[in-house]
Amino acid sequence: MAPNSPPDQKQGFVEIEPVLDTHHTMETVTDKISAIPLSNTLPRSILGVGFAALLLLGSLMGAIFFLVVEGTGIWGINQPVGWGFDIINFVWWIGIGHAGTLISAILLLLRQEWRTSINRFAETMTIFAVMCAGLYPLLHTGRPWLAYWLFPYPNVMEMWPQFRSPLVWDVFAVSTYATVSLLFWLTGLVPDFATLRDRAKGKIAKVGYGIAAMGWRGSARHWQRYEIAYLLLAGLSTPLVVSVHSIVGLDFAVSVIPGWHVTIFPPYFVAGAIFSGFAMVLTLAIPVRAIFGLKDMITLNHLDNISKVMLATGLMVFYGYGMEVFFAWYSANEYEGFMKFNRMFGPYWWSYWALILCNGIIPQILWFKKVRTSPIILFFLSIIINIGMWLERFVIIVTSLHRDFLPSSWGMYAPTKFDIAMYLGTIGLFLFLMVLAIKFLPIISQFEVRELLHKKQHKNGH
Amino acid sequence: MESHVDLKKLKSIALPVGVIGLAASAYGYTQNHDAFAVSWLMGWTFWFFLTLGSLGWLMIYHLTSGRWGFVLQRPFEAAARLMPAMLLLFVPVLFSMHSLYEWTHEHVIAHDELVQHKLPYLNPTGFYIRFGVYAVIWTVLAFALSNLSRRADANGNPETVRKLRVISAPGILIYSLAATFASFDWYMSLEPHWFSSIYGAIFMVSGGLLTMLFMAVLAHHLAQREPMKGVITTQQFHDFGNWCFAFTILWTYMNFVQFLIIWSGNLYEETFWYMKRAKGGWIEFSAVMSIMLFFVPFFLFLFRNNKRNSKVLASIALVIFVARYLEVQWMIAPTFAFRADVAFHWMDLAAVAGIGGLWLWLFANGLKKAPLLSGDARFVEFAKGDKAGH
Repeated sequence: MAPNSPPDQKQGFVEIEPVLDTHHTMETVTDKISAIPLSNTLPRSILGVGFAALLLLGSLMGAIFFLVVEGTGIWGINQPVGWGFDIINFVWWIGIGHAGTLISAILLLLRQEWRTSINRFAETMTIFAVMCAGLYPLLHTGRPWLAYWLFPYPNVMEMWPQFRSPLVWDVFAVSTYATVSLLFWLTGLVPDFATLRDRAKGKIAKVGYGIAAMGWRGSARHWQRYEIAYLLLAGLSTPLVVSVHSIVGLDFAVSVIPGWHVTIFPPYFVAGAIFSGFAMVLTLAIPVRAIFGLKDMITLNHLDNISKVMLATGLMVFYGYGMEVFFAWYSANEYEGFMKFNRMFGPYWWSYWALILCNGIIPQILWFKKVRTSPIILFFLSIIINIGMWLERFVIIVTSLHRDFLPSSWGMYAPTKFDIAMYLGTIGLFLFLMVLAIKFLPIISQFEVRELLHKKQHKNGH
Repeated sequence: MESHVDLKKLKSIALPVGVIGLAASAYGYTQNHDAFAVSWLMGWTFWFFLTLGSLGWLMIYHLTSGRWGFVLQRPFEAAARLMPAMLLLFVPVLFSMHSLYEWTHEHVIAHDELVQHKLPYLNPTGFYIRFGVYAVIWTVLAFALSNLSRRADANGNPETVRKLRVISAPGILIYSLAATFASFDWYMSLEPHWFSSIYGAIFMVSGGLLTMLFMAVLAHHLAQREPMKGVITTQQFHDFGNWCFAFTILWTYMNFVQFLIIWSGNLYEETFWYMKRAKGGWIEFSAVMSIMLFFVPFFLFLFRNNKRNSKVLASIALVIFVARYLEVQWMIAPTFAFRADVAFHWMDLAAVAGIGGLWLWLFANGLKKAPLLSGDARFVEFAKGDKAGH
C-alpha cells in the first residue's frame, strides 16, 4: 500500500465511484449516521438477527455451564488430538479481529482515505472477535477462575509459567492486543459520543452519551490532544497486527509435530488473519449498508479496495499452502511427507480439498472488477472465505495431530455437541454484540467522514 | 549548494573499477576455481538483488500508485532493464556448479539418500531449465513494463496506466514464484540437506530492502538538479526512509522467526545450518551483522528528522547498503569447508567491485536513455504543479 495516494484519480483510469458522495454536507452526514442510534426502533431484519443471536447466546451459556460442572471431558479432545475446536475457534476469532487493527492503524498511517467509513465498523468487530477468542483458552483451562495462574506473579507454590512457551507469549500478546484495541476504539468514539449527547432527545440517552463523552467540548485543545493520542495509539497498534498472529503461528511452529514445524507459519498466519478479517468486514458491512442505506458512505470503491486486499492476502496464504506441499517433499523427512499425504488423501481429505477450494480457488474470481464491485457476489464470497479460513485451522490442527509418528497412537477427532454449541454460541455472542453496537453507537465515524468531506470539497480550493 | 556525484563522474569511476575487478576475477578463476566460484556468486548476488528488487518495486508502484514510486519509476526501470546483463553474468556460476553445489557430485549422490530423494528437483538439467524460465519471466516483465511506460511518454495516453496495472498484478505473482524457486536453486541448495519454507520470502525482502537503500542514496543526488529538483520533496524522502525502516523490521522479523522455530525444534536436520554459523568466528560475524543490519538502521530510521533530511537519509542508507554485503557473505560463505572460518578473500572484493562497477556503469547509461521524469498520467500534473509552487 502506498504511503500517499495520488491526489486525483480522475485522470483517465479506473475510478468506479468516489469514497464519499460529495453531495453530502456536514449536517447530512451527521444526521444520517446519528439517526441510527438515536431512533427508537431498529429495522426488522436487524431485530431478527439480534433475536437469533440471543438464542445462540443461550447455547453458549449452556455449553459453559456444563463445562464448568463436568470439565473439559465433555469436549471431543482426547489423545492423540489434544487440541480441537478450542484452538481452532480461538485462532479463527483472533484472525477475524485483525482486519480492524489493520484498517484503523496501518491504513491510517498510510493515509488511505477509504478507511474512513469502515474503520469504526471494523474496530468494533475487532473488540468483539477478541472477546470471543479469549473465551476459548480461558475455558480450556477447565477452571477459568484459576486463569490468573497464567500470569507470572510471585506465589507460595513457587510456580512460574514456562516462558519459553509461545502459549505464555499468547497471554501477553492477546491481552495487550485487547487493551490497545479497546483504547483505540474508545478514543475514536469520544467526539462522536459528544455529538450524540448534544443531539439526543431523551434524558437517559443524554446522560448515557454524556458520561461516555467524558466532557468533550470540541475545543481546539481537545482536538489537538485527540489527534496526538490517536496517532500514538495507531503507532502502538501497528506492530500488534503482526505480533499477535505471529505468536499464534509460533504456538504450532515451535513444536516438532510434522505439519506444524514450518518456518513460514508466522507470516503466513498473519496474511491469513487479514484475509479472514476483511472477509468478515464484508459479511457484516454489505447487509448493513443495504439495510441502513449507507451506500453513499460505504461505496463500491470501498468494496473494491477490500476485495483487492483480500485477493493479495489470499494469494499469500495460497503461497503458504504451496510452500508446505513443496517442503513436505523437499525436506525428505518421511513424517512430513506422510503428514502431507495423509492431509490430502487420508480420512480428513475432504477438509483439505474444501480448504483449497474455499481459500485458494474460488477467491480467484476477485481478479475481475465485476466481482469486486458486486455486493451480492462479495457477500457470498466472504462467507466462503470465512468457512475456508476455519477449515484451514481445522486442517492444520486436526490432521497434524491425529496421525503422528507411531501408528499405534493414531486416532480420530470429532467435536461433541458441546463443542458445537460453544462454537455457535460465540457466533451468537459476536452477532448480539454487533447488533447492540449498531443500536447504540455511531457505526460510521461521524467526525472522520466530515473531515474527509471537507478535504474532498476543498480539494481544489487551495 | 553541496557537491554531488554527477552521473558522468559515477561512470568515469565505475567503468575502470568494473574492468579491473572483472580482470582480477578472471585471473582468480585461473588460479583457484572453487574460491572464484564462491566469491563470484556472492558478488553477483549483491548486485542482482538491485535488478530483481527494482523490478519488484516497479510492480508494487504500478499497483499502489504511491507518489514515492513515481519519482523512482525511471531508476527502477533502468535497473530492471539490466536483467539480461545480470543473467549473462550468472553464466560463470553455471560453469562452476561442481564447485558450488554438492548435489552435482557423483559420489555424493551415490551415498546420500537425502540427495537421492531430491534428485528429481536438484539436478543440473532441471537447474538450467528453471534458470531459463526465471530469465524469461523477469526479462519479459522488465522490458514489457519499461517499454510501455516509455511509449506512454510519447503519446501521453492515460490508458497506459491501466495496462501497466494489468501486467503488474499477475506479474508480481509470477515474479514472486520465480524468485522463490530461484532462491531455493541458487542458495538453499548450497546445503542440499537443509530446508526452510520462509527462505524465499526472506530472499525477496532482502532484495527489496537493498534496492530501496540504493534508491534513497540515488534520489538524494538526483534531487539536486533538473528535472528532479523540486519534484522529489521532503515527503518522498520520508517515504523512502519509512520503506527502509519497514523492510528492515520485516527482514529481521522473518530471520528471527526462522531462527526461533529451528532453535525450538532443535532437530539436527535444520540446526546444522545455524551451527555452521556459530563457529569459526561466524558467531561474532552474526553479532556484527545483527548490529549493522538491524539495531543501527532501526534506531536511525526511527527518527523522523533522519528521514526527512535527504542528506542524512542518504548517508545512513549508503552505510547500511554497503553493510548489507555482510548478509550475502553470511548466507553463502559458511557452507564451504575452506570458508568455515571467517576470512575475507581478495576475490570477494574483485567480484563485488567488478560486477558492481559494470552494473553502475550500465545503470548510469540506461538512466539517460529515457526522460528521468516519467510522463505517468497519475502524477504528471502533480509534478508540474508542485514545481510551480516552489
